[in-house]
Order: sequence, then C-alpha cells, then structure tokens
Amino acid sequence: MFNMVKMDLYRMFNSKSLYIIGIIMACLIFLTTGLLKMEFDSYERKSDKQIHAVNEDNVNLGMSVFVEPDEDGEVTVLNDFFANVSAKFLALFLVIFTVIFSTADYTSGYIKNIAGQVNDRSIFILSKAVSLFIYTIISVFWFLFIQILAHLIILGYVKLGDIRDLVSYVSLQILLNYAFLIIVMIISIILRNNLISMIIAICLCMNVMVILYNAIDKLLEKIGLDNFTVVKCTITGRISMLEVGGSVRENILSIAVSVIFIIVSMFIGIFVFKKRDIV
Amino acid sequence: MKEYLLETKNITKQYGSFKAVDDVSVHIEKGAIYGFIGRNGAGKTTFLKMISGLASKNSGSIELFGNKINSLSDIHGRIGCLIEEPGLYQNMSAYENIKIKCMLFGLDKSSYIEDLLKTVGLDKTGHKKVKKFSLGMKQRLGIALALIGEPDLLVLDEPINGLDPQGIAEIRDTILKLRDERNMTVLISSHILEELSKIATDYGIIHHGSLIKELTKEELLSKCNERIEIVLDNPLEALPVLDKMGFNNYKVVDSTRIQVYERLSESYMINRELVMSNINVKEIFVITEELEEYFLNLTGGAANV
Repeated sequence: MFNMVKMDLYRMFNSKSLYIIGIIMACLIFLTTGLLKMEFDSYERKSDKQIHAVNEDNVNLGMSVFVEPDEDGEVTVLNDFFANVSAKFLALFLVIFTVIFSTADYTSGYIKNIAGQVNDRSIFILSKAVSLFIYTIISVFWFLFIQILAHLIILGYVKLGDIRDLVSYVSLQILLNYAFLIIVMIISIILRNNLISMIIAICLCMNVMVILYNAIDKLLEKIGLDNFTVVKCTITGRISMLEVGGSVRENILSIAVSVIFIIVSMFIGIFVFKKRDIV
Repeated sequence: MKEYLLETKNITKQYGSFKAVDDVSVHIEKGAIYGFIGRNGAGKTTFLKMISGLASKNSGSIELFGNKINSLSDIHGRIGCLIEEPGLYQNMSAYENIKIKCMLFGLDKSSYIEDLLKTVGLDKTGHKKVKKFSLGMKQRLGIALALIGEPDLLVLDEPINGLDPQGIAEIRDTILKLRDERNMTVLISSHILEELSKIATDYGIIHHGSLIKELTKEELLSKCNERIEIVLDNPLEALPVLDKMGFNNYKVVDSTRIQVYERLSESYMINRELVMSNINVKEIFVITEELEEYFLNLTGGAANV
C-alpha cells in the first residue's frame, strides 16, 4: 500500500495538469481579488451588509461569489476564502484535476502494466484516495497562500479574520471538499471516461443536482416530511451551507455527511474495481 | 510426467452467451517461447488477460509451477505482461514510466531502471519523452515494464503488430536475448505465424475461442512438410478419380488446383489415373507447405481471414 501511494504521488507531482491547474487557479484568484477591489472602489459600502450565509433556500444553480467586508470595511482572508469555497470556486479546480488524475492510468493504459501484479486491487482505490487527501490539503493551502498574496499585492493589506474561525472553517472545508473529490474519483473510475466525468463533476459544482433535490423535497413534503431538505445532507450542499463560526451541531453534521459519503463511495468504487476486468 | 511453468485447465471466459475463450488448456514448459496463434478475434487477448490477472475467468483453473491460482491476486508479481498496445504515460520519459512501476515493487533504484532500459535497448533514449518514441521503441519499453519484478513468465500480446521489418527484428532480438540471458519463459501471441516461427519453441493454435492444436516446433515443421499439388483445368472432374483411388484428405484450393495431403509417394499414380480418365493434368508435384498456409488450413482456409 505504501509503495502504491508513493507511486501515485510520484505520478501526481510529475503531471503537468497539477501545475497548470494550480497556476490557473492562482491567476483567477488574483483576477477576482482585482475585481473585488474595483467593485469596492466603485461603490459605497452599505452598512447593513453581512456575511452572505447560504442556506438550504438559496443554494441556486450556477456559481456566484459574494465577498463581504468586515466592520472596518475591509475584506478579510477568511471572508474571501469563505466566499470562494462556499461558491465551489475552489472545488471546480479540484474536481478537474481529480478527474484527470483518477483516469490517467486508464486513459494511458498504464493500468494494464500493474493491475495484474498487486495482491489486492482495492489498494488502487485506497492509494488514490490517500493521494487525493494530500492533494486537497495542498490545494487548500495553495489557495489560501495565493489569496493572502493577492490581498497583500492588490488590496494592500492582509487581514486574516478570526483565526479560530479560520482554522475551523478551513479544516471542515478540507474534509467536505475531500469527500466531494472522492465522489468524483469514484464516478471517474466507474465511467472510465474523462469527458463525461468532467461534465458531471462540473455540473455538481454548479449545483445542477439542486433540481433533483428540490423535486425530492417536494415529494417528501407530499408524504408529510415537511422539515427535511435533501440538500442539507449532500456534500455539495454542505460545502455551500457551512457557516463561519457555525454551531457545533452543524459542524458535526458536516463531518458526518463527509464521512458517510467517503465510506459509501469508497465501498462502491472498490467493489466495482475488483469485479471488473481491465480493458 | 512433464512439469509445466504454466498450465491452464479448461478455462472459459463468457460474455453473456458468447464464449470468448472456451475450455482452453495450454501447457507451457519453463524456458519455452510459446507462440499463441490465432486470427483477430480468436480469443487470444482475452486468454492472455486471464493469464495476466487482468480479467477473471468463468470456469477452469490456472496453475503456475503446479500451484493452483484461485484468484487474480495469487498471480501477484509472477507474470509480467504487455497486452495489446503498451500502456504508457506519453508525457513522461521511458525512465519515468519504468520508475513508476518500480516504485510499486520497491525497486526504484536508478541502476535497476538503467539495467532494464539497457536490456531492451533503450539506454540511450531513456530520458526522451515517450510521445516522441516510434511504435517499436514503445513496444520495447512495454517489454521493459513487463520485466519489472523479475517475473517467471512474460506475456506478450501481438508485440509486432504494426511494426516495420526493423521494428519486428528488434522485438525478436529482445525476446531471444531475454531467453538466452535470463532463461525467461515467454508466451507470445500473434496472427503472423511466419514471424512467430522464427523464435517460438512451442505453439498453441486458437480459433473461435477454442484451442484447436498444441504442438512443438518440430511437430509443426513436420506437419507443414509436404503435399501433392495438382494443377488442371477443372478440378471438379478429378475428384471422382481421387475418391475412387481412396484419397480422403484433399482440398480444392482454387479453380485450377487440388492439394492432396496423404500418400505423397503416389503422385505418379494420381497422374496416371487422371490421364486414363481423360483429364488433362497441367502439373503435378510434391511441395512443402508454408507455415502460414498450414495455419490457414487449420482454421478454415484463407477465405475466412
């Protein structure tokens, strides 16, 4: 297992896409920070602005990023990070790399060189999962680093925000985004098709599933379950709805949803991969 | 009793109602170069995938050194394979491609990788990106990948497909080198019998998923030995004569030729009987059959190719 993880990490750090996606992400962070500054310079700030918390009623189709200033009228790294992550701006980059990384051994055919020579095929999935965990952490910190740099260069100041809230929020989002990547990885491995997997992953980032969730909610409402909303129990929903300094109950729910999705996805992925012939 | 490095017993692979491989039993001795011959779609690749642990079998058993392999995992590390075209990361160098698999085996020392590249004759181009490689070089790199972990059996599926004569010669030399230097047992599939005959010591012929013949090089050569070739205007007129003479093993191959595969010393008698029956014989002679022709005859004739 250790050797397989070593192999996957070598493959990951030797793939161009990792760096290209990282560079594009960095450029877009600078761009959005620049746009943010322009917007803040152009308009008078309204005093009643609050952090744009998303709830189950306003998880909408598409991607929109709202950044709110703090009481001093300045944008903290935490607020900016919150806005980008909850809008799944970060997730969008992560899933693109995940699809490329997860299917690379299939699309290249390299899997044929190794699949027959391992004790247990499940380590292929487990190893990718470990590699993606490392990738998620690196990407989140890369994102934060670039954001801090962009604030420093473009806004001319760096205000992190409440450190405790930042650490807690970042940690939970790492877990939620990681769970999302595991789902995308399993979809890619099952479908073995880069394009379709990529489309599905991007659609998930764009909250396309909200249409389905709303339909299920309506159905549940008809059978008497008025207070249940599906989106609250989904990874993409939790990524959007997780609040900065949220309640312990909500944080635990996020952790529980992540863990359940990770376990179920991994189980399905391992089952399919073990049963299937390598073609 | 012979001891085999690899033996399959009635292995079958079924997709729905279609049997891609049907009850195939092969016997491969240690140090042999086993040529697995069959037309496209005969079931060669499916069979090799099962041997290599890439596909599961529906029934039958595989034994390696006399030990039954019950699951794919048991094959671990003992069989190196190159199935269909080599699976390579095009944006990486040959060295990096090898290094990745070496990491899996915990063998990622630079000297080991360089040795492998040298074995397949890629030591001077090891740091070049694979996408710049010729097909022959890619095939050799695929062989190098299959050699990682010192497998007991090397499985090569159509390694000369699409190669130019020079590429074919390079692959042939590589395989012979592996046999001579490492006493490697090789299972190699191809539909080009002529090429395979230059290196193989044993043969298995598969057709429509079934193994129709398993024979040694000597047996194959003797089978391909001789036949009587009769050239005449209307072969159909000659058939009653041949039947009357008691010939059963003959074939009308085209509008002017009959091939007789038995009683080869009686060509003069055939000639006499045909002339006496007022049938004009243009030519009658005994010739040696080409290997390729033998294979075609076994698998239903050239018309079915």
